[in-house]
Amino acid sequence: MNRIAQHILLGLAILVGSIGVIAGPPPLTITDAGYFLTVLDTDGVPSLVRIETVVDLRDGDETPPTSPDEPKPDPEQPAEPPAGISADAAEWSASIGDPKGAQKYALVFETVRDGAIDGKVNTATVYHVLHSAADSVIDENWQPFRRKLSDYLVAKMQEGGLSNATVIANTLEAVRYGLAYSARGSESITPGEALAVVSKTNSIINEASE
Amino acid sequence: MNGTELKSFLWEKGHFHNTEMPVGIEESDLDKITLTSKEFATAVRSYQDFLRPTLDELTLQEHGRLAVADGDIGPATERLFAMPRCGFPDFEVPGAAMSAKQEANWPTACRRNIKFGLAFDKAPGMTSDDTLKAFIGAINNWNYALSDLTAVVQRGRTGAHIWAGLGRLGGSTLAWSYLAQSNCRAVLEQRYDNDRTWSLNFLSTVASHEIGHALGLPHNRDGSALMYPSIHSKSLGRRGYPNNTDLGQARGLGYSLSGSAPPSLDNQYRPMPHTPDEPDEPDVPVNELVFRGSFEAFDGDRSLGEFILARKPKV
Repeated sequence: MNRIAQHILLGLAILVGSIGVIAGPPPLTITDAGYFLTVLDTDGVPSLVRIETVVDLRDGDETPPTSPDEPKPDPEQPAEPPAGISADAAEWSASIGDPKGAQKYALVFETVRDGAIDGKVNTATVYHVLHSAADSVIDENWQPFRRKLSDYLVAKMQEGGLSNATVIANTLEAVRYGLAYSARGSESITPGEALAVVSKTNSIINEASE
Repeated sequence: MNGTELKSFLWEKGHFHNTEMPVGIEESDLDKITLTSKEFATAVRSYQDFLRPTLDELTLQEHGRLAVADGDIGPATERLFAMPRCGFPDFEVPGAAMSAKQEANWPTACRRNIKFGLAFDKAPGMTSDDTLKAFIGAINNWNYALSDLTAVVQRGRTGAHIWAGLGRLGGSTLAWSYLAQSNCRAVLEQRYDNDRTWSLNFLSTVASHEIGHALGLPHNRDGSALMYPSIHSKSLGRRGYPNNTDLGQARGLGYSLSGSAPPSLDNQYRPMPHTPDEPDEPDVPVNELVFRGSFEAFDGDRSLGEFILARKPKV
């Protein structure tokens, strides 16, 4: 018998021993949230006790328990709280209240960042590319975000802070992270929607680099 | 979905591995592939190219012309990427568990005794009985089509060669299956999406497709075929019975074709063994046939909807 099965049986033995009223095996309930045993206390009051793992030890052709749902694959979630411009971008984005738009806008920044890495976006074109792509991808509600970000980028540019591809890519990544962070936990955009944003942004990058 | 996930989507479906459009990257290189790179554009073009029949249909609807698989993304490609599809890769992905080796089949020694285990009670939207019937229907399609195959459906996965579970697959993925491994002791897993409302013919057709993988068939590019990556009205209309392209693939893997007609509606969901029907000859004049159920009928290029051809009820 494997270790997990031993743990389960030990757990059940403790459970059964501590309650001591259960007649026959306790009923197993399977829900989207996991496995539960129905147990009765000494007054006969039923309650559900969650168990982490079920190992099917029966022989023969009986139907084994249906597995609880496997967790739905979530979009890659930013784990670390943002700082600096990332934190600002996350805050500005959250105040818009459009997580789907935030995911699309984050993809714009991701694509332009990649364009900077590939040498297709530079100091002269980055502002135009971001502006045109934003016009295509997000709606009017994002104007407050865009104004604040524009002020930040213009100031950074004037300080000479967007002078090479690495710095541009790092800045865009910081904004992207903030946008993605603000959209964490929301329903993911589809591959088709994501691809449309990437494609549109790529077209704008290619036009700007010609 | 972010850029990394988009690249993973194309990777998992095998589109960085299209031998006609080689990009020469390994999985460890994926992080270095940018969204503006030609390798990414090539993978998108590969996806468009493999699902060309669907892209043509969608482009016709959107733009009134046929598609060009050029990697550019318009509304038609956007819809193409959202189409419900099988999670099995379109091209072999080295090292991926599902892909295995794409010339594998079940050895002759075990083809007469393939057990399919249903490891869940019911699919969302269906009764327990209909769920079982859907898998019996899917297995019967292959039992009828291949004379050297005898497969049975059982409740539970004990002793099963192929077993199916439910899972939340996410996105547009309907189901996936492991591929056959040329080994009688292989145990192949399948998953069906738990986050979707199923019905008898829908589940039976999708299961027929996934069982095709479990018998060794990869995806093909025939937009009418069962083993096309996306579900469509033509395979639904055949209740998941393989077409000539699918059967040609099966023969190429070493299976013997029976030449049988598809199971009748009466036999489709009836467990084997039963004697397959003789080819069905209509015994009523064509103009007395009535329609009900699901296959797609056309007036020229215009779809009239989905129907099943049925005999006129005898009174």
